[in-house]
Amino acid sequence: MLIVDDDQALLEMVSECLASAGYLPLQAANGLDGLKKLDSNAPDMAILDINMPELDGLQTCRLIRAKEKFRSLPILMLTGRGDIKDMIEARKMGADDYLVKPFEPSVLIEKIERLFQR
Amino acid sequence: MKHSSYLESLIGPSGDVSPLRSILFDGVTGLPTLPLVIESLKDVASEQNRIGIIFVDTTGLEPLEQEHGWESLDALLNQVRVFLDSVVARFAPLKLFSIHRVSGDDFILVLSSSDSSIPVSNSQVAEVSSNLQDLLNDYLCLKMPASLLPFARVFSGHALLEYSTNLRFERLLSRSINKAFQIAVSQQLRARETHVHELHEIVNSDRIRTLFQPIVSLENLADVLGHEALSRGPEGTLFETAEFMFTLAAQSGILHRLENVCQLQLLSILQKSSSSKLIFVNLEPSFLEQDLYQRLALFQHEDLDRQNLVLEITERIAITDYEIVAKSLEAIRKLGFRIAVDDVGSGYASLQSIAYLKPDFIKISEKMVQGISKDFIKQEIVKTLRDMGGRFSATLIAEGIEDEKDLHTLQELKVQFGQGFLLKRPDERLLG
Repeated sequence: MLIVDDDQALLEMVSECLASAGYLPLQAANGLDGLKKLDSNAPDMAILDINMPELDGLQTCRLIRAKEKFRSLPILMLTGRGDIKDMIEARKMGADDYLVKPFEPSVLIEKIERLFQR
Repeated sequence: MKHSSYLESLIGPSGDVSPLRSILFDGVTGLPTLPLVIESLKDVASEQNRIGIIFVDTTGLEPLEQEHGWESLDALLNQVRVFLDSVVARFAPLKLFSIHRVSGDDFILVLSSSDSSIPVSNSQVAEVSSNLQDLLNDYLCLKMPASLLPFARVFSGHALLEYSTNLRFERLLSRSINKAFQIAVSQQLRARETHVHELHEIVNSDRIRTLFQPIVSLENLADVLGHEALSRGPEGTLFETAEFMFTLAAQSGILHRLENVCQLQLLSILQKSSSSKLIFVNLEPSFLEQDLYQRLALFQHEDLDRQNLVLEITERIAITDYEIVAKSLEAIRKLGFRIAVDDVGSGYASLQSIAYLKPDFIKISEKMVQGISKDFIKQEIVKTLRDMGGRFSATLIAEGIEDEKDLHTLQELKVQFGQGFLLKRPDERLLG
Protein backbone atom coordinates (compact mmCIF):
# COMPACT_ATOMS: atom_id res chain seq x y z
CA MET A 1 0.00 0.00 0.00
CA LEU A 2 1.64 3.19 -1.16
CA ILE A 3 0.89 6.21 0.99
CA VAL A 4 2.02 9.65 -0.17
CA ASP A 5 1.86 12.61 2.22
CA ASP A 6 4.21 15.46 3.07
CA ASP A 7 2.99 15.42 6.68
CA GLN A 8 5.28 12.96 8.48
CA ALA A 9 2.94 12.58 11.47
CA LEU A 10 0.02 11.63 9.25
CA LEU A 11 2.23 9.31 7.24
CA GLU A 12 3.12 7.46 10.46
CA MET A 13 -0.47 7.40 11.66
CA VAL A 14 -1.82 5.97 8.41
CA SER A 15 1.04 3.47 8.16
CA GLU A 16 0.32 2.20 11.65
CA CYS A 17 -3.36 1.97 10.89
CA LEU A 18 -2.66 0.02 7.69
CA ALA A 19 -0.18 -2.29 9.40
CA SER A 20 -2.60 -3.13 12.18
CA ALA A 21 -5.17 -4.11 9.56
CA GLY A 22 -2.64 -6.46 7.95
CA TYR A 23 -1.52 -4.27 5.04
CA LEU A 24 2.10 -3.51 4.24
CA PRO A 25 2.59 0.27 4.15
CA LEU A 26 5.06 1.93 1.79
CA GLN A 27 5.75 5.57 2.57
CA ALA A 28 6.55 8.43 0.21
CA ALA A 29 7.00 12.04 1.30
CA ASN A 30 5.98 13.72 -1.98
CA GLY A 31 4.43 13.12 -5.37
CA LEU A 32 7.65 12.47 -7.25
CA ASP A 33 8.92 10.05 -4.60
CA GLY A 34 5.51 8.37 -4.76
CA LEU A 35 5.69 7.92 -8.53
CA LYS A 36 9.17 6.37 -8.24
CA LYS A 37 8.12 3.96 -5.50
CA LEU A 38 5.02 3.06 -7.46
CA ASP A 39 7.14 2.02 -10.42
CA SER A 40 9.62 -0.05 -8.44
CA ASN A 41 7.27 -1.68 -5.91
CA ALA A 42 3.98 -2.11 -7.80
CA PRO A 43 1.68 -1.72 -4.76
CA ASP A 44 -2.00 -2.78 -4.77
CA MET A 45 -3.34 0.65 -3.86
CA ALA A 46 -2.23 4.28 -3.67
CA ILE A 47 -3.37 6.69 -0.95
CA LEU A 48 -2.53 10.28 -1.91
CA ASP A 49 -2.78 13.48 0.07
CA ILE A 50 -4.10 16.29 -2.15
CA ASN A 51 -2.25 19.21 -0.58
CA MET A 52 1.46 18.70 -1.14
CA PRO A 53 4.09 21.16 -2.28
CA GLU A 54 5.32 20.99 -5.91
CA LEU A 55 3.59 17.93 -7.34
CA ASP A 56 0.23 17.78 -5.55
CA GLY A 57 -1.99 14.73 -5.09
CA LEU A 58 -4.25 15.56 -8.05
CA GLN A 59 -1.33 15.92 -10.47
CA THR A 60 0.24 12.75 -9.07
CA CYS A 61 -3.05 10.94 -9.57
CA ARG A 62 -3.26 12.03 -13.19
CA LEU A 63 0.33 10.96 -13.86
CA ILE A 64 -0.36 7.55 -12.33
CA ARG A 65 -3.47 7.10 -14.49
CA ALA A 66 -1.55 8.12 -17.61
CA LYS A 67 0.40 4.88 -17.34
CA GLU A 68 -1.29 1.92 -18.91
CA LYS A 69 -0.30 -0.52 -16.14
CA PHE A 70 -1.84 1.66 -13.42
CA ARG A 71 -5.18 2.32 -15.12
CA SER A 72 -7.05 0.15 -12.64
CA LEU A 73 -4.94 0.72 -9.54
CA PRO A 74 -7.30 1.79 -6.72
CA ILE A 75 -6.51 5.38 -5.70
CA LEU A 76 -7.83 6.96 -2.51
CA MET A 77 -7.41 10.71 -2.00
CA LEU A 78 -6.93 12.31 1.42
CA THR A 79 -7.68 15.98 1.96
CA GLY A 80 -8.28 18.55 4.60
CA ARG A 81 -11.22 20.04 2.69
CA GLY A 82 -14.61 18.45 2.16
CA ASP A 83 -15.73 20.61 -0.74
CA ILE A 84 -17.59 19.13 -3.69
CA LYS A 85 -15.43 21.11 -6.12
CA ASP A 86 -12.31 19.31 -4.90
CA MET A 87 -14.08 15.97 -4.98
CA ILE A 88 -15.17 16.53 -8.57
CA GLU A 89 -11.61 17.48 -9.45
CA ALA A 90 -10.29 14.31 -7.79
CA ARG A 91 -12.76 12.21 -9.80
CA LYS A 92 -11.68 13.89 -13.01
CA MET A 93 -8.07 13.04 -12.31
CA GLY A 94 -9.04 9.40 -11.96
CA ALA A 95 -9.29 8.87 -8.20
CA ASP A 96 -11.65 6.18 -6.88
CA ASP A 97 -12.53 7.45 -3.43
CA TYR A 98 -12.10 10.48 -1.23
CA LEU A 99 -11.59 10.85 2.50
CA VAL A 100 -11.68 14.09 4.47
CA LYS A 101 -9.17 14.60 7.31
CA PRO A 102 -9.38 14.12 10.23
CA PHE A 103 -10.83 10.62 9.98
CA GLU A 104 -11.31 7.56 12.14
CA PRO A 105 -8.86 4.75 11.30
CA SER A 106 -11.82 2.38 11.00
CA VAL A 107 -13.32 4.56 8.23
CA LEU A 108 -10.05 4.44 6.29
CA ILE A 109 -9.88 0.64 6.55
CA GLU A 110 -13.54 0.36 5.56
CA LYS A 111 -12.92 2.45 2.44
CA ILE A 112 -9.83 0.43 1.53
CA GLU A 113 -11.72 -2.85 1.84
CA ARG A 114 -14.59 -1.49 -0.22
CA LEU A 115 -12.16 -0.45 -2.97
CA PHE A 116 -10.58 -3.91 -3.03
CA GLN A 117 -13.99 -5.58 -3.20
CA ARG A 118 -15.00 -3.63 -6.26
CA MET B 1 6.79 7.25 -41.95
CA LYS B 2 10.55 7.39 -41.93
CA HIS B 3 12.39 8.23 -38.83
CA SER B 4 15.76 6.67 -38.24
CA SER B 5 16.48 4.01 -35.72
CA TYR B 6 18.88 6.51 -34.23
CA LEU B 7 15.91 8.74 -33.51
CA GLU B 8 14.03 5.74 -32.18
CA SER B 9 16.88 5.01 -29.79
CA LEU B 10 16.92 8.61 -28.69
CA ILE B 11 13.25 8.91 -27.96
CA GLY B 12 12.76 5.46 -26.47
CA PRO B 13 10.14 2.83 -27.27
CA SER B 14 6.54 3.88 -27.78
CA GLY B 15 4.49 3.85 -24.60
CA ASP B 16 7.39 5.34 -22.71
CA VAL B 17 6.90 8.97 -21.80
CA SER B 18 10.24 10.73 -22.38
CA PRO B 19 10.37 14.52 -22.80
CA LEU B 20 11.69 14.18 -26.35
CA ARG B 21 8.94 11.76 -27.33
CA SER B 22 6.32 14.13 -25.99
CA ILE B 23 7.67 16.90 -28.23
CA LEU B 24 7.77 14.78 -31.36
CA PHE B 25 4.67 12.69 -30.86
CA ASP B 26 1.18 13.55 -29.71
CA GLY B 27 0.69 12.10 -26.23
CA VAL B 28 -2.95 11.20 -26.81
CA THR B 29 -2.96 9.54 -30.21
CA GLY B 30 0.72 8.70 -30.64
CA LEU B 31 0.65 10.58 -33.95
CA PRO B 32 3.83 12.34 -35.09
CA THR B 33 3.89 16.13 -35.02
CA LEU B 34 4.27 17.98 -38.32
CA PRO B 35 7.91 19.06 -37.79
CA LEU B 36 8.88 15.42 -37.43
CA VAL B 37 7.62 14.44 -40.88
CA ILE B 38 8.15 17.64 -42.79
CA GLU B 39 11.31 16.42 -44.54
CA SER B 40 9.71 13.20 -45.78
CA LEU B 41 6.62 15.19 -46.71
CA LYS B 42 8.74 17.49 -48.80
CA ASP B 43 10.29 14.47 -50.51
CA VAL B 44 6.96 12.98 -51.50
CA ALA B 45 5.61 16.35 -52.65
CA SER B 46 8.57 16.98 -54.92
CA GLU B 47 8.38 13.40 -56.25
CA GLN B 48 4.62 13.41 -56.97
CA ASN B 49 4.24 17.17 -57.63
CA ARG B 50 1.01 17.34 -55.66
CA ILE B 51 -0.22 16.28 -52.25
CA GLY B 52 -3.64 16.74 -50.70
CA ILE B 53 -4.34 18.40 -47.37
CA ILE B 54 -7.56 17.91 -45.42
CA PHE B 55 -8.39 19.86 -42.29
CA VAL B 56 -10.85 18.04 -40.02
CA ASP B 57 -12.41 20.51 -37.62
CA THR B 58 -14.37 18.84 -34.82
CA THR B 59 -16.59 21.04 -32.68
CA GLY B 60 -18.45 20.37 -29.48
CA LEU B 61 -16.30 17.53 -28.19
CA GLU B 62 -15.06 19.45 -25.12
CA PRO B 63 -18.19 18.83 -23.04
CA LEU B 64 -17.29 15.14 -23.21
CA GLU B 65 -14.16 15.91 -21.23
CA GLN B 66 -16.00 18.10 -18.76
CA GLU B 67 -18.73 15.58 -18.16
CA HIS B 68 -17.08 12.23 -18.62
CA GLY B 69 -13.42 12.96 -17.88
CA TRP B 70 -10.36 13.35 -20.06
CA GLU B 71 -10.09 9.60 -20.64
CA SER B 72 -13.39 9.69 -22.56
CA LEU B 73 -12.26 12.48 -24.85
CA ASP B 74 -8.86 10.86 -25.40
CA ALA B 75 -10.54 7.55 -26.21
CA LEU B 76 -12.88 9.26 -28.69
CA LEU B 77 -10.03 11.13 -30.37
CA ASN B 78 -8.17 7.85 -30.74
CA GLN B 79 -11.23 6.21 -32.27
CA VAL B 80 -11.66 9.13 -34.66
CA ARG B 81 -8.03 8.85 -35.71
CA VAL B 82 -8.38 5.11 -36.44
CA PHE B 83 -11.62 5.85 -38.27
CA LEU B 84 -9.91 8.50 -40.44
CA ASP B 85 -7.37 5.87 -41.47
CA SER B 86 -10.03 3.40 -42.51
CA VAL B 87 -12.07 5.97 -44.47
CA VAL B 88 -9.16 7.16 -46.58
CA ALA B 89 -8.24 3.52 -47.30
CA ARG B 90 -11.42 3.32 -49.42
CA PHE B 91 -10.10 5.88 -51.88
CA ALA B 92 -7.14 4.09 -53.50
CA PRO B 93 -4.80 5.07 -55.08
CA LEU B 94 -5.05 7.95 -52.63
CA LYS B 95 -3.30 7.06 -49.46
CA LEU B 96 -2.97 8.63 -46.08
CA PHE B 97 0.60 9.83 -45.80
CA SER B 98 0.26 11.11 -42.25
CA ILE B 99 -2.25 12.43 -39.74
CA HIS B 100 -1.55 15.11 -37.16
CA ARG B 101 -3.63 16.27 -34.28
CA VAL B 102 -3.70 20.05 -33.83
CA SER B 103 -5.22 22.49 -31.33
CA GLY B 104 -6.76 19.80 -29.16
CA ASP B 105 -9.43 18.15 -31.23
CA ASP B 106 -8.72 18.93 -34.88
CA PHE B 107 -6.79 16.83 -37.36
CA ILE B 108 -4.68 17.54 -40.42
CA LEU B 109 -4.52 14.74 -42.98
CA VAL B 110 -1.85 14.59 -45.65
CA LEU B 111 -2.77 12.55 -48.72
CA SER B 112 -0.40 11.25 -51.34
CA SER B 113 -0.76 8.72 -54.13
CA SER B 114 0.31 5.12 -53.82
CA ASP B 115 0.73 5.02 -57.61
CA SER B 116 3.20 7.66 -58.78
CA SER B 117 1.75 7.55 -62.32
CA ILE B 118 -1.61 8.84 -60.97
CA PRO B 119 -0.92 12.02 -59.01
CA VAL B 120 -3.39 13.36 -56.48
CA SER B 121 -6.11 15.53 -58.04
CA ASN B 122 -8.16 18.29 -56.49
CA SER B 123 -11.47 16.54 -57.15
CA GLN B 124 -10.27 13.36 -55.46
CA VAL B 125 -9.18 15.22 -52.35
CA ALA B 126 -12.48 17.12 -52.33
CA GLU B 127 -14.38 13.86 -52.56
CA VAL B 128 -12.46 12.31 -49.67
CA SER B 129 -12.99 15.47 -47.62
CA SER B 130 -16.74 15.58 -48.09
CA ASN B 131 -17.06 11.84 -47.50
CA LEU B 132 -15.02 12.15 -44.34
CA GLN B 133 -17.26 14.89 -43.08
CA ASP B 134 -20.44 12.87 -43.63
CA LEU B 135 -19.04 9.62 -42.28
CA LEU B 136 -17.49 11.24 -39.24
CA ASN B 137 -20.75 12.97 -38.37
CA ASP B 138 -22.53 9.61 -38.59
CA TYR B 139 -19.78 8.11 -36.49
CA LEU B 140 -20.16 10.75 -33.77
CA CYS B 141 -23.90 9.98 -33.67
CA LEU B 142 -22.94 6.50 -32.51
CA LYS B 143 -20.23 7.53 -30.11
CA MET B 144 -21.40 10.68 -28.35
CA PRO B 145 -23.86 10.61 -25.45
CA ALA B 146 -27.27 11.82 -26.70
CA SER B 147 -27.30 14.96 -24.57
CA LEU B 148 -24.04 16.19 -26.11
CA LEU B 149 -24.76 15.11 -29.64
CA PRO B 150 -26.39 18.28 -31.06
CA PHE B 151 -23.22 20.19 -30.22
CA ALA B 152 -20.84 17.69 -31.79
CA ARG B 153 -20.23 18.29 -35.46
CA VAL B 154 -17.39 17.74 -37.87
CA PHE B 155 -16.50 20.12 -40.69
CA SER B 156 -13.76 19.43 -43.15
CA GLY B 157 -11.99 21.46 -45.77
CA HIS B 158 -9.42 20.50 -48.37
CA ALA B 159 -6.59 22.00 -50.36
CA LEU B 160 -4.15 20.81 -52.99
CA LEU B 161 -0.50 21.55 -52.41
CA GLU B 162 1.34 21.97 -55.71
CA TYR B 163 5.04 21.59 -55.27
CA SER B 164 7.21 24.45 -56.39
CA THR B 165 10.89 25.12 -55.94
CA ASN B 166 10.21 28.87 -55.96
CA LEU B 167 8.75 28.86 -52.49
CA ARG B 168 9.93 27.39 -49.27
CA PHE B 169 8.09 24.13 -48.68
CA GLU B 170 7.09 25.13 -45.15
CA ARG B 171 5.33 28.18 -46.56
CA LEU B 172 3.52 26.16 -49.21
CA LEU B 173 2.41 23.73 -46.56
CA SER B 174 1.13 26.36 -44.16
CA ARG B 175 -0.76 28.09 -47.00
CA SER B 176 -2.48 24.85 -47.94
CA ILE B 177 -3.34 24.02 -44.34
CA ASN B 178 -4.74 27.49 -43.89
CA LYS B 179 -6.84 27.21 -47.05
CA ALA B 180 -8.27 23.86 -45.92
CA PHE B 181 -8.96 25.33 -42.49
CA GLN B 182 -10.81 28.33 -43.97
CA ILE B 183 -13.06 26.06 -45.98
CA ALA B 184 -13.89 24.01 -42.87
CA VAL B 185 -14.68 27.16 -40.92
CA SER B 186 -16.93 28.58 -43.63
CA GLN B 187 -18.86 25.30 -43.66
CA GLN B 188 -19.28 25.64 -39.94
CA LEU B 189 -20.62 29.18 -40.28
CA ARG B 190 -23.07 28.10 -42.94
CA ALA B 191 -24.37 25.24 -40.78
CA ARG B 192 -24.85 27.65 -37.94
CA GLU B 193 -26.80 30.10 -40.08
CA THR B 194 -29.13 27.28 -41.08
CA HIS B 195 -29.72 26.38 -37.42
CA VAL B 196 -30.40 29.98 -36.44
CA HIS B 197 -32.87 30.27 -39.30
CA GLU B 198 -34.66 27.08 -38.17
CA LEU B 199 -34.83 28.35 -34.60
CA HIS B 200 -36.40 31.64 -35.75
CA GLU B 201 -39.06 29.68 -37.59
CA ILE B 202 -39.78 27.56 -34.51
CA VAL B 203 -40.13 30.62 -32.28
CA ASN B 204 -42.25 32.53 -34.79
CA SER B 205 -44.66 29.64 -35.22
CA ASP B 206 -44.81 28.71 -31.50
CA ARG B 207 -43.63 25.19 -32.18
CA ILE B 208 -42.46 24.62 -28.61
CA ARG B 209 -43.67 21.70 -26.56
CA THR B 210 -44.00 21.76 -22.78
CA LEU B 211 -43.42 18.47 -20.99
CA PHE B 212 -43.86 17.72 -17.31
CA GLN B 213 -41.50 15.41 -15.50
CA PRO B 214 -42.78 14.13 -12.16
CA ILE B 215 -40.58 14.48 -9.09
CA VAL B 216 -41.34 11.65 -6.68
CA SER B 217 -40.44 10.61 -3.16
CA LEU B 218 -37.66 8.01 -3.21
CA GLU B 219 -39.10 6.42 -0.09
CA ASN B 220 -42.48 5.94 -1.69
CA LEU B 221 -42.24 6.20 -5.46
CA ALA B 222 -45.99 6.71 -5.87
CA ASP B 223 -45.81 9.93 -3.89
CA VAL B 224 -45.48 12.91 -6.28
CA LEU B 225 -43.90 16.12 -4.94
CA GLY B 226 -44.42 18.09 -8.13
CA HIS B 227 -43.35 18.41 -11.76
CA GLU B 228 -40.52 20.05 -13.59
CA ALA B 229 -41.75 21.92 -16.65
CA LEU B 230 -39.47 21.24 -19.61
CA SER B 231 -39.52 23.16 -22.89
CA ARG B 232 -38.53 21.26 -25.98
CA GLY B 233 -38.23 22.01 -29.66
CA PRO B 234 -40.10 19.97 -32.28
CA GLU B 235 -39.61 16.21 -32.19
CA GLY B 236 -36.94 14.80 -34.43
CA THR B 237 -34.96 18.04 -34.63
CA LEU B 238 -31.73 19.04 -32.88
CA PHE B 239 -33.85 21.47 -30.86
CA GLU B 240 -35.31 18.58 -28.90
CA THR B 241 -32.20 18.96 -26.75
CA ALA B 242 -33.17 21.96 -24.64
CA GLU B 243 -29.60 22.98 -23.94
CA PHE B 244 -28.84 23.22 -27.64
CA MET B 245 -31.96 25.26 -28.32
CA PHE B 246 -31.38 27.70 -25.46
CA THR B 247 -27.66 28.05 -26.11
CA LEU B 248 -28.26 28.88 -29.75
CA ALA B 249 -31.07 31.28 -28.83
CA ALA B 250 -28.77 33.10 -26.41
CA GLN B 251 -25.98 33.28 -28.98
CA SER B 252 -28.24 34.61 -31.68
CA GLY B 253 -30.01 37.16 -29.51
CA ILE B 254 -33.51 35.65 -29.38
CA LEU B 255 -33.38 34.13 -25.92
CA HIS B 256 -36.05 36.46 -24.54
CA ARG B 257 -38.43 35.75 -27.38
CA LEU B 258 -37.92 32.01 -26.94
CA GLU B 259 -38.45 32.27 -23.19
CA ASN B 260 -41.66 34.23 -23.77
CA VAL B 261 -43.04 31.57 -26.06
CA CYS B 262 -42.10 28.84 -23.57
CA GLN B 263 -43.56 30.60 -20.57
CA LEU B 264 -46.79 31.66 -22.21
CA GLN B 265 -47.36 28.11 -23.25
CA LEU B 266 -46.62 26.85 -19.74
CA LEU B 267 -49.01 29.42 -18.28
CA SER B 268 -51.86 28.44 -20.54
CA ILE B 269 -51.43 24.81 -19.42
CA LEU B 270 -51.18 25.72 -15.74
CA GLN B 271 -54.34 27.82 -15.89
CA LYS B 272 -56.31 24.89 -17.24
CA SER B 273 -54.81 22.41 -14.80
CA SER B 274 -56.24 21.48 -11.45
CA SER B 275 -52.93 20.19 -10.09
CA SER B 276 -52.07 21.47 -6.63
CA LYS B 277 -48.56 20.03 -6.69
CA LEU B 278 -45.35 22.03 -7.06
CA ILE B 279 -44.24 23.23 -10.47
CA PHE B 280 -40.51 23.64 -11.04
CA VAL B 281 -39.68 26.17 -13.74
CA ASN B 282 -36.21 26.88 -15.12
CA LEU B 283 -35.17 30.50 -14.93
CA GLU B 284 -32.48 31.68 -17.33
CA PRO B 285 -29.55 33.04 -15.29
CA SER B 286 -29.33 36.18 -17.43
CA PHE B 287 -32.77 37.25 -16.18
CA LEU B 288 -31.37 37.70 -12.70
CA GLU B 289 -29.39 40.61 -14.05
CA GLN B 290 -32.07 42.19 -16.19
CA ASP B 291 -35.78 41.92 -16.90
CA LEU B 292 -36.35 39.84 -13.76
CA TYR B 293 -39.60 41.58 -12.84
CA GLN B 294 -40.93 41.48 -16.36
CA ARG B 295 -40.18 37.75 -16.35
CA LEU B 296 -41.79 37.15 -12.97
CA ALA B 297 -44.83 39.28 -13.85
CA LEU B 298 -45.86 36.50 -16.19
CA PHE B 299 -46.21 34.19 -13.22
CA GLN B 300 -48.00 36.62 -10.96
CA HIS B 301 -51.31 35.62 -12.38
CA GLU B 302 -54.30 35.51 -10.08
CA ASP B 303 -55.15 31.95 -11.10
CA LEU B 304 -51.74 30.72 -10.00
CA ASP B 305 -50.66 29.91 -6.50
CA ARG B 306 -47.15 31.36 -6.24
CA GLN B 307 -46.36 29.12 -3.30
CA ASN B 308 -46.53 26.22 -5.71
CA LEU B 309 -44.03 27.71 -8.11
CA VAL B 310 -40.37 26.84 -7.64
CA LEU B 311 -37.92 28.78 -9.77
CA GLU B 312 -34.87 26.77 -10.72
CA ILE B 313 -31.57 28.51 -11.23
CA THR B 314 -28.43 26.71 -12.29
CA GLU B 315 -25.53 26.37 -9.88
CA ARG B 316 -23.43 28.21 -12.46
CA ILE B 317 -24.86 31.53 -11.29
CA ALA B 318 -23.31 30.92 -7.88
CA ILE B 319 -19.97 31.81 -9.42
CA THR B 320 -21.16 35.07 -11.00
CA ASP B 321 -21.80 38.33 -9.24
CA TYR B 322 -22.87 37.47 -5.67
CA GLU B 323 -24.55 40.79 -4.97
CA ILE B 324 -26.77 40.78 -8.03
CA VAL B 325 -27.70 37.15 -7.46
CA ALA B 326 -28.43 37.66 -3.77
CA LYS B 327 -30.59 40.72 -4.50
CA SER B 328 -32.56 38.93 -7.22
CA LEU B 329 -33.17 35.87 -5.08
CA GLU B 330 -34.40 38.11 -2.29
CA ALA B 331 -36.84 39.73 -4.72
CA ILE B 332 -38.04 36.33 -5.91
CA ARG B 333 -38.64 35.18 -2.33
CA LYS B 334 -40.53 38.34 -1.42
CA LEU B 335 -42.92 37.70 -4.27
CA GLY B 336 -43.68 34.32 -2.73
CA PHE B 337 -41.82 32.00 -5.07
CA ARG B 338 -39.52 29.27 -3.86
CA ILE B 339 -36.03 28.65 -5.15
CA ALA B 340 -34.19 25.55 -6.30
CA VAL B 341 -30.55 25.36 -7.29
CA ASP B 342 -30.21 23.14 -10.33
CA ASP B 343 -27.25 21.15 -11.76
CA VAL B 344 -25.57 20.91 -8.36
CA GLY B 345 -22.40 18.86 -8.64
CA SER B 346 -21.63 19.73 -12.22
CA GLY B 347 -18.40 21.29 -11.04
CA TYR B 348 -18.96 25.02 -11.20
CA ALA B 349 -20.00 26.01 -7.72
CA SER B 350 -18.40 25.22 -4.41
CA LEU B 351 -20.32 24.06 -1.39
CA GLN B 352 -19.93 27.46 0.18
CA SER B 353 -21.42 29.35 -2.74
CA ILE B 354 -24.44 27.02 -2.87
CA ALA B 355 -24.95 27.45 0.87
CA TYR B 356 -24.84 31.20 0.33
CA LEU B 357 -27.89 31.00 -1.95
CA LYS B 358 -29.88 29.17 0.79
CA PRO B 359 -32.18 27.42 -1.67
CA ASP B 360 -35.37 25.60 -0.68
CA PHE B 361 -34.40 22.73 -2.96
CA ILE B 362 -31.03 21.36 -4.07
CA LYS B 363 -31.24 19.47 -7.35
CA ILE B 364 -28.35 17.07 -7.79
CA SER B 365 -27.08 17.05 -11.36
CA GLU B 366 -27.70 13.92 -13.41
CA LYS B 367 -23.95 13.81 -14.00
CA MET B 368 -23.56 13.15 -10.29
CA VAL B 369 -26.46 10.71 -10.16
CA GLN B 370 -25.69 8.47 -13.11
CA GLY B 371 -23.31 5.70 -12.14
CA ILE B 372 -23.40 6.63 -8.45
CA SER B 373 -23.85 3.01 -7.38
CA LYS B 374 -20.32 2.21 -8.52
CA ASP B 375 -18.67 5.56 -7.89
CA PHE B 376 -17.53 6.13 -4.31
CA ILE B 377 -16.59 9.75 -4.85
CA LYS B 378 -20.06 10.58 -6.20
CA GLN B 379 -21.51 8.94 -3.08
CA GLU B 380 -19.21 11.07 -0.95
CA ILE B 381 -20.39 14.22 -2.79
CA VAL B 382 -24.07 13.40 -2.32
CA LYS B 383 -23.47 12.72 1.41
CA THR B 384 -21.78 16.12 1.69
CA LEU B 385 -24.70 17.83 -0.08
CA ARG B 386 -27.22 16.00 2.09
CA ASP B 387 -25.47 17.10 5.28
CA MET B 388 -25.23 20.68 4.05
CA GLY B 389 -28.87 20.73 2.91
CA GLY B 390 -29.89 19.45 6.33
CA ARG B 391 -28.28 22.47 7.97
CA PHE B 392 -30.65 24.97 6.35
CA SER B 393 -33.55 22.60 5.65
CA ALA B 394 -33.16 22.43 1.90
CA THR B 395 -34.82 19.43 0.25
CA LEU B 396 -32.61 17.20 -1.90
CA ILE B 397 -33.80 16.09 -5.35
CA ALA B 398 -31.75 13.72 -7.52
CA GLU B 399 -32.11 14.32 -11.26
CA GLY B 400 -31.72 11.91 -14.16
CA ILE B 401 -32.28 8.60 -12.33
CA GLU B 402 -32.19 5.96 -15.06
CA ASP B 403 -30.77 2.91 -13.34
CA GLU B 404 -32.13 0.62 -10.59
CA LYS B 405 -28.79 0.32 -8.82
CA ASP B 406 -28.31 4.10 -8.77
CA LEU B 407 -31.82 4.44 -7.34
CA HIS B 408 -30.98 2.01 -4.52
CA THR B 409 -27.78 3.85 -3.70
CA LEU B 410 -29.67 7.18 -3.56
CA GLN B 411 -32.27 5.60 -1.28
CA GLU B 412 -29.49 4.29 0.99
CA LEU B 413 -27.95 7.77 1.04
CA LYS B 414 -31.34 9.09 2.18
CA VAL B 415 -31.94 11.44 -0.72
CA GLN B 416 -35.58 12.48 -0.31
CA PHE B 417 -36.81 13.00 -3.86
CA GLY B 418 -35.88 12.13 -7.41
CA GLN B 419 -36.82 12.38 -11.05
CA GLY B 420 -35.72 10.47 -14.13
CA PHE B 421 -36.77 8.06 -16.86
CA LEU B 422 -36.60 5.09 -14.48
CA LEU B 423 -39.22 6.66 -12.20
CA LYS B 424 -41.51 8.46 -14.64
CA ARG B 425 -41.06 9.82 -18.13
CA PRO B 426 -41.90 13.43 -18.96
CA ASP B 427 -45.43 13.75 -20.22
CA GLU B 428 -47.32 16.43 -22.15
CA ARG B 429 -50.14 16.17 -19.66
CA LEU B 430 -49.89 17.57 -16.17
CA LEU B 431 -51.19 14.77 -13.96
CA GLY B 432 -52.03 14.74 -10.26
